[in-house]
Amino acid sequence: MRTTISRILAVASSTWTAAALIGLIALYLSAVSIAQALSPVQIERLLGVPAHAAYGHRLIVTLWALLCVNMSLATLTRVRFDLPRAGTWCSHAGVLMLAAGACWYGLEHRSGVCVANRWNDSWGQTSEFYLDGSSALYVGIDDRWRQVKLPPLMEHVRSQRLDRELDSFDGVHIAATDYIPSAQVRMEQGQALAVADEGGNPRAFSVLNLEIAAGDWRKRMQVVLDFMPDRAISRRLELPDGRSLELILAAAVAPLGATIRVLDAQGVVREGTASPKDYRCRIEVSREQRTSRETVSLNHPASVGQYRLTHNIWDSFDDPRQIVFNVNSRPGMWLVWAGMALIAAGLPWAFYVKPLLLRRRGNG
Amino acid sequence: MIELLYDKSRGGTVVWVGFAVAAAMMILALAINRKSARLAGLAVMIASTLALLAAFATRWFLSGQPWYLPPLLNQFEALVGSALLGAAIAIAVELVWKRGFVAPAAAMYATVVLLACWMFGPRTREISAPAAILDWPIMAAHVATIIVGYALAGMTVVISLAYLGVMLVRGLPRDESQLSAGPDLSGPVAGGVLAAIDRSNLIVSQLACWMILLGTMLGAYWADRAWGRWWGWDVKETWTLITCLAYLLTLHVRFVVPPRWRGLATAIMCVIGGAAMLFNWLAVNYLFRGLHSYA
Repeated sequence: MRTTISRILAVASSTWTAAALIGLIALYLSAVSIAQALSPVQIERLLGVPAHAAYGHRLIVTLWALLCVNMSLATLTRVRFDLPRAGTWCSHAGVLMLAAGACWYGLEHRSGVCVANRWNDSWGQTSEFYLDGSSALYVGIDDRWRQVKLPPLMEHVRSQRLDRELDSFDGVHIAATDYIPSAQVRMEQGQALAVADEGGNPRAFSVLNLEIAAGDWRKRMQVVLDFMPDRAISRRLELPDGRSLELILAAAVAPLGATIRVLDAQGVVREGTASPKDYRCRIEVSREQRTSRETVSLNHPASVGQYRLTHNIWDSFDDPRQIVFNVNSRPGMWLVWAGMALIAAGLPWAFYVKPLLLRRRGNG
Repeated sequence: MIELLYDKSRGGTVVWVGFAVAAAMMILALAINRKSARLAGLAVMIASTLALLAAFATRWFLSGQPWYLPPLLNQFEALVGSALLGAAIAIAVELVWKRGFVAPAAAMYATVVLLACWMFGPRTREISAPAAILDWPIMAAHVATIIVGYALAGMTVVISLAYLGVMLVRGLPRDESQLSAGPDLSGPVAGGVLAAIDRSNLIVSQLACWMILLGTMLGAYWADRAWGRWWGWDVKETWTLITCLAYLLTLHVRFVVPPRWRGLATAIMCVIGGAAMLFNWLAVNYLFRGLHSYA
């Protein structure tokens, strides 16, 4: 029994195992990155996830996890804990911390965009942002709007049957029948209809098929997914009782935890030229009856509660009327930085200080 | 006047001639085992490096970029920068470790890179203002560190090819003097040619690994500040990680491969690492669309 365990331990902590795992990881990453650039559809067909999610696929996550286990066992069982080998301990611990931080970040991270608009001379305020990778159905009956959160649609690469009751609102029942992640318009019986397109058409769009019911009255309709609700195509129809129903499929809106208002925005040019040097904008952040002022400029983000605001798009350098900010939460980032610092310090120790110390010991 | 001189020297790339002469002299010195020829070759290399440094400084001055932002922002600048930084590091390594193989490798790498720029450079040599987002010291440190890493990776390819060439002629190392000196630098220094080439390869691949990792980490820090996300699986980022993995694999495999095969395994892995670096630098920049591409 003890021999079997020690054999398993020897294989699990072996450098050959590490080499095999590193080789497999490198092969997977190179294949995915090339396929992603040349033919994302192939990744979707092979792995069953959208191309952008291939790096988080359970296959590669398992390989990384096995490498971490191998590295931990190898360090504990094979590397002596002394001053010359401190670099090895340090860099291995750094890799594990980096991996832990990356996992934490991957699981808890929320990102999206937040839009600030200017009308005439005054900037509007906002306390919400559009969440990346999310989707919601915005239902408006006689201009009274509500957001209905949807299951994560964007992780599907093939058409999905949903058959799911989404909302019941003022006697109107809305159910999702199916989701088509890649659709194109076809004319059927004189009507434009979005149907599944499996050919990887770059101009394909995502569609949710809905069934609207009010009493005995039923109607099927399709809504097209767009990221920002104010830019998405809305579908309108008249209910049997004369009320008007409007539907929009877009990214879900999440609270920012504070209200922000742009005070002023200014494009800075390089001295003596017209080329942009910086995009600088001052914002007022109001949170729990406290107000503070922050400046967002290139490479200098602003903190708003748990989120960090960076620049995404200005509609005009000279006279911006719309500014889009990236919004990112940063869970586990201290672990990522600490891991990187340990690797950066550990490697030169292992490479150059260890030989010096060992040689000195040998001479001593 | 300065601009005219700079343009006539094709952005300083004409210095490839100096590096070619230096490489030839140092290789000859190794073949005939003459210290004076090696020192003369090193002197030509130092002079060529200084000439290239002058061209680099001229471009920096002409571009009007701030002190913290060296001209390393397009393919031409990156290639010239890699030749310069690689040569400077090789001279330092040669003066500290006196291995004899690092400087000729750097001179050959600089020759190939500068010759390519000299031939194809005119189309990509224009000086342009950098994008506003790039104007930050940490970004400049990220680019410079990565470029040093690429230059060192290129040098490992040259040294590895030299190892493979010598091994083809002489066969695998047999006696103690030819055996590679330990898995890391703490091992004893053997006197044979193969062992000496392998030790040079180890020194440069360790530096390459560290520099590419350090540069990638600085890039992650910059991306976090600039866009709010530290890693995005951009095709360039992915291939940099692959290059790092290749070098880490190289350095770890040395601990388990029998001493007789250690140098060969290192040479083959360094060629693979160098190929990954080259793919990342040229193919990814020109063939793929991404945050780092010039395509």
